Amino acid sequence: MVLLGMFFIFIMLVGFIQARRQKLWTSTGLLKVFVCAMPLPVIACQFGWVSAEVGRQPWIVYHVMKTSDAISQTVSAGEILFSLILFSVIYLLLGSLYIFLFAREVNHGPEPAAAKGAFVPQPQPEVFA
Amino acid sequence: MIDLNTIWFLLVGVLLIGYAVLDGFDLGVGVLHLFAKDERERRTNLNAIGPVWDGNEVWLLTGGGALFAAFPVVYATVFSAFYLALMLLLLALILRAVSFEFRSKSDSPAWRRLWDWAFGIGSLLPAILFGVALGNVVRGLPLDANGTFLGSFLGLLNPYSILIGVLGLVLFVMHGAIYMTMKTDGEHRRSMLAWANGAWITGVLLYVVATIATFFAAGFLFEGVLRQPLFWLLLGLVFASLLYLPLALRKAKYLVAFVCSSIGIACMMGLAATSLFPRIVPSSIDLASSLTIYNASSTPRTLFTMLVIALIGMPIVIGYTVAIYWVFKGKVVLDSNSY
Repeated sequence: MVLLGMFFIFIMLVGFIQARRQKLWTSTGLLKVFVCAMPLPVIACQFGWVSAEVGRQPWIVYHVMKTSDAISQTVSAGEILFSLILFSVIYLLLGSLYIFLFAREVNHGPEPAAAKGAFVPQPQPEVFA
Repeated sequence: MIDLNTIWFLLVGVLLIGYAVLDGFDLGVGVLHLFAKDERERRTNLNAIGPVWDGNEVWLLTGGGALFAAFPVVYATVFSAFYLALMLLLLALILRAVSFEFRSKSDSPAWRRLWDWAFGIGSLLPAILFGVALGNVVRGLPLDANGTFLGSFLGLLNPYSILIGVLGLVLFVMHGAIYMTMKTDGEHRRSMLAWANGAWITGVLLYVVATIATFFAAGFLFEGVLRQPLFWLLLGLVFASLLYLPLALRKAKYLVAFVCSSIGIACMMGLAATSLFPRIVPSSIDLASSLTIYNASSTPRTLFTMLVIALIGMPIVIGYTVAIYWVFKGKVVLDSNSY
C-alpha cells in the first residue's frame, strides 16, 4: 500500500512537471502509465486492509482481546456465510455493471460540452409549475 | 438528575427520530415510485429527493455509531440479534442507492424499469424493517441474564412487530406524499394528495390499533409513564399534529402539512422512548435482565468525550442540512443534468 502510494506521488509529480512544460498531452508513454494506474488505488486499499487485519492476528484489539474470544454468541457461522455470499454476489454484479458502463463511456469518447445532455430526451428545462 | 447516560439516551433518540423524519419521506417517495404513472413522474420523484436522500441516511449511520460508542452492550446485542434483518436492510439500501445513478445511464425502457423496481423495493424494505425493528425493541427481546439474545430471525417477525412495521410504512408513505405535494404540480400533485389523505386515515387507524396492541404486548411500558407530564405533552402533540394535517392539506398549506407529519412521527417515537426510559432494550424473559442506560453504557469518561465531539459535530450537520434544503427548495426542475 505504502509502495503504491509513493508510486502515485511519483507519477503525479512527473505529470505536474510535464504539464508545466506544456508537454503533458504529447507524452503518450506517461499517459499510458496513468491509464494503467487506474485500478491501483483500489488494490492499494485492499492491501492496506489485508495487512491491518492479518498483521493484527491473533488479536482483534491489539494486546487486549483475542479474536477467538470476540466471536458472537448469537450470530451463527451459517448466517455469516449467507451474508458473505450475498454481498460477494451483489458486489460482483455491481462491479460488472460498473465496468460495463465505464467501458461504454470510454468507447463513446469525449463529447463537446454542448452535447452533454445526450441521454436526456428533453433538452429544454421543464418546470412543473 | 440529568446524568451523562440520560443525555446520551436523548441524543441517540434524537438521531433516530431525525432519521425517521428525514429519511422517512424519501423512503416514502421511493415506495410511491412503484405507482408512478409515467417517465416524467418517475424522474420528478428521483430528482425531488436526489439532492437530500443521502444526507438523510447519514442520520441512521450516526444513530448506529452513537449507539456503538455510548451503549456498546445494546449495540452488540441488537445488531447480533437483528443480523440477518440488517443484512437485508443493507442489501436494500445498496440497491436503492445505485439505482439513482445507474437508472439515467441508458434510455432503454427495460434498463430503466429494472432500476425503478430496485429503487421501489429498496425503499419499501427499509420502510417496513424500521418499524419491525422498533416494534421488537419496544416489545422486548428474549435476553438472558447476561444480555445474550436467545431468539431467532423468524421470532422477530411476530404479529406485533409486523403491525408496527406496517404502521411505519403507512406513515412514511404519507410523509413522502406530503413532501411531493411541495415538489410537484398538476396531475402529479393531485395523485400525491390522494395518497397523502388515504395514508393519513389508514395511519391514524393503525396508530390506535397499535396503541391498544402495545397494552397487551408490552403492558410494562405504561407503568409509571402515565404519571409523567412529558408523556401527555407528546401524546397531545401527536393528536394535534395528526388532526390538523388533513386541514392543512385541504387549505393547500403543504409545508404546514409536512411540519405536522414530521412532528407526528417524531412525537410517536418520542412516546416510545419515554415509555422505555431508562430501559433501552427490555428483556421479554425477565424484565430484570433488560438493558438499561446504566448497565449497558460506556464509561463516564467515554460518554463525556463523545459529548464534546457531538456538541461540535451537531451544529455542522444541522447547518449543512438546512443549507442543502434551502438550495434545492421549490418545485422540481428537470433539465439535462437531472437524473
